[in-house]
Amino acid sequence: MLWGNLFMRGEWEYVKFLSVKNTVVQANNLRAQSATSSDPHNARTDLTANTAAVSDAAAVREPAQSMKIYGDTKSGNCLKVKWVCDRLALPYTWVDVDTLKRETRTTQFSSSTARAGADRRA
Amino acid sequence: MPTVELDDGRTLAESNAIIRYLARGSDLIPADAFAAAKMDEWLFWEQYSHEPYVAVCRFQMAYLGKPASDLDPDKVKRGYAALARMEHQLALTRFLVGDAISLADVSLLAYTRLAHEGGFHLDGYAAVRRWIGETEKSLGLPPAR
Repeated sequence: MLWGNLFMRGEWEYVKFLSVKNTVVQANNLRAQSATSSDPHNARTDLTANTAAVSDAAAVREPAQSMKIYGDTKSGNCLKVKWVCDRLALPYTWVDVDTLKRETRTTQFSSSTARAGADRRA
Repeated sequence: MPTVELDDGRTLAESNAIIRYLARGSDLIPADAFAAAKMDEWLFWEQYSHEPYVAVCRFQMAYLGKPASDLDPDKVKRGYAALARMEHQLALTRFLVGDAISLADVSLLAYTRLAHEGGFHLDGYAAVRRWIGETEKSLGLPPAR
């Protein structure tokens, strides 16, 4: 665990350096980092921290793909997933599936907007 | 529904399986193995003994427009039995698994907070009502009613 954390720290510095030159590269690195980490909790924490750091630079670019949640916001079973993502600040794209009207509408949430989204869509 | 498509294209269905995967390593799953198993006990119970009655009655009234008098009496009876089991636990502990919020609370909040839309009265369930308020607050949700 200790060595794992030290390694993650090294990655963080590396990513931070790259971000000065190219924000898109940073986003890709973040995704690779979270995908290869053996400790999902740490990976998630770093992802959140990095996303917050970039927003200060006013050069935020959403990852090309984020997790997609297909659900109906009136369904309790779907809201469970949304609440967990919002509480843990996991980035996601919500694809609204209205079972009665058969319509889909897509809304993207970054970890920084997820909390605001909770109020809008609850 | 719901279904989740991960960054790498893999998909996962079943709400409780999804939240269990997404919350891995977080404080929403107890670190203690037995407490985590008690959380799972509530998650399975929710799908087998709570949702089929509390959520289905709500669906029939709120979505299909049935009056409460047309609900299947057996479903109503089993819905109240589920609420009674929660009341018993929540009179003993702050949340369903001890004193900290877990996925058990997230999962059971979903339809318990909307039970009134299915014709269920929570007047005699003081601990459940207290828990709904605390869990909503902990998740940053506005009160359902």
